[in-house]
Amino acid sequence: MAWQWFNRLGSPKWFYEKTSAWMPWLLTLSLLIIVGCSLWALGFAPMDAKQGNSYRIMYLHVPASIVAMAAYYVMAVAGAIGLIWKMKLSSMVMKVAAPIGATLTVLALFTGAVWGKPTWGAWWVWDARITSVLILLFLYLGVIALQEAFVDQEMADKASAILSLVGTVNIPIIYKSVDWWFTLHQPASIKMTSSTIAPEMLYPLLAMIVGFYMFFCWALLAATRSEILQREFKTKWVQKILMADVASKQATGQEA
Amino acid sequence: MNPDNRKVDSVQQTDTKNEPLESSVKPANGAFASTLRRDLLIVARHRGELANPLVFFLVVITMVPLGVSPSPAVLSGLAPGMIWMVALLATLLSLDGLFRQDFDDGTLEQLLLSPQAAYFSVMAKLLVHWLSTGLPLTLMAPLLGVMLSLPDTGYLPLIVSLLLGSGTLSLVGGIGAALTVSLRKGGLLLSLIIMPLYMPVLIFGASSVKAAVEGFSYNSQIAVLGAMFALALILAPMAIAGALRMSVNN
Amino acid sequence: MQFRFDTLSEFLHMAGHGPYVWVCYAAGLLAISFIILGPIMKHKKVVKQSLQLRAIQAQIKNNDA
Repeated sequence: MAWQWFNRLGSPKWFYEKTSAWMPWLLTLSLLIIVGCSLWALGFAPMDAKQGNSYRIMYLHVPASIVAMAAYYVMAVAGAIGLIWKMKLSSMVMKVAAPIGATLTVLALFTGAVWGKPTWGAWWVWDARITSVLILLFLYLGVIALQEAFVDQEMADKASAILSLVGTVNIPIIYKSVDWWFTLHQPASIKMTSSTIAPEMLYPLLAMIVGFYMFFCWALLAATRSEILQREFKTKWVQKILMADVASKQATGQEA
Repeated sequence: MNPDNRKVDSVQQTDTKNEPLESSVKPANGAFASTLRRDLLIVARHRGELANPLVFFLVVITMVPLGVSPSPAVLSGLAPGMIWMVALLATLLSLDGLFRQDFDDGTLEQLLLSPQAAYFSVMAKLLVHWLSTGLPLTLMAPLLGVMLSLPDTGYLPLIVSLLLGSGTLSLVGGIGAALTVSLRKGGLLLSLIIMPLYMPVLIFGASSVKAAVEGFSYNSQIAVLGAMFALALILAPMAIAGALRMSVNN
Repeated sequence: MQFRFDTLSEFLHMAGHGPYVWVCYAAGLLAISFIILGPIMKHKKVVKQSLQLRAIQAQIKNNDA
């Protein structure tokens, strides 16, 4: 029974049809949470004793870095499944996870840098966390570049799966190395927030993290769906969907 | 004297007396030894190419005082990191040629088709690569230390860390080389994908020399480098074999 | 749960940290928009390709007929 489900899960068509219904809901809900938490973070969360108002950036920076890191593991696992069980759908998920993860990583870096300016006086400080996130960005760019370099999609998938797996083994090593290197050069480690975080500050942060995760799920599903349409372009069911899309657009165009 | 070697030689000529049961018990070192012998021969025939990474090392290190400052005080501060960094770059540049020639003339495919596990052929190629790149760079490093005013305490850790580290660099770099060997302009992409994986090695390598220069013990850094080498030794050839199979099935 | 700022201008100013905070949230908005736009643009491209394919096929049919 479980095997049947697993097999069906591998069918792009089944995946596309099953996800069609919840997409708008997932997007709306995740955006509501994100926007709601942002408003809370900007206007309703109390001011921090040490950092004043700039700590409000934390509500963007922390969720972005958490999801950016998680996205890499999603990418690696999807790649592994695609590589071992030859499940095309899984390889597609791996391929689309990379640019999403890279965008979130850039956001984390940018917000981290801008947050650093009022806090530590400099636009860029080579602290352990920011350096690890920068290296994570390089890992993502490597996977994206490898995907682009191969003409044959199957080879591209295999190569990027291998690279993501190698990167996965390396991420804890890189993280620990950078952490250790940083404490060597700057024994007084600067914390981004005070060590005990007030519940009023914590709950919106947790909610924002949930919101970001949900948004990431939506993004992954949406991107996989368009990747399916692109890869399965020549099949009848895809052509039917695309033509229905064109027809509905023409219909609304004529009505307008 | 070695029955194993004789068996390897007879495999190369079709031996009709070889029963299937016998061939499944082929000696594991057959692939390793023959690949090792072959690659060493190739290196020996192109002895001039051995100099390339060394000259690169020398020239780039010469640029450091030119670009930064010739003052010994400044240079000795930079020396541990710079020497390590340039050694790393020299290794990176030499990686593209690791599998390319064999890929182009079809030898790689033959190696992968052999009944022995690809692990051993890959290990042999990596060993030769290290012998022709990492080891010479390590041996030349003290000379460059002198040029950059490296303090006396730094030389031993420099050699030890480079010995261990260059092995890891060859192993991990081989993964990138295997992934990009079928691409025409694989070189730059290779650097991009391998660099993040090299960073921990650089961190601990340079730090071991720096610690020694500042008078601290550097045992923990060397231990970590050793651990990284051990991990790479076990995992990298598997990843490389998988990547090579993928590249060859074009 | 109370609004922490007295006036709108104070809200924008954020006790001196205004530019930093608002730039970051703008960047966040940009990142999210970029991620949402990705699949949409790809979908549009695929639809266009499909139309082109149909046009070519129709032309071939016309030429045969």
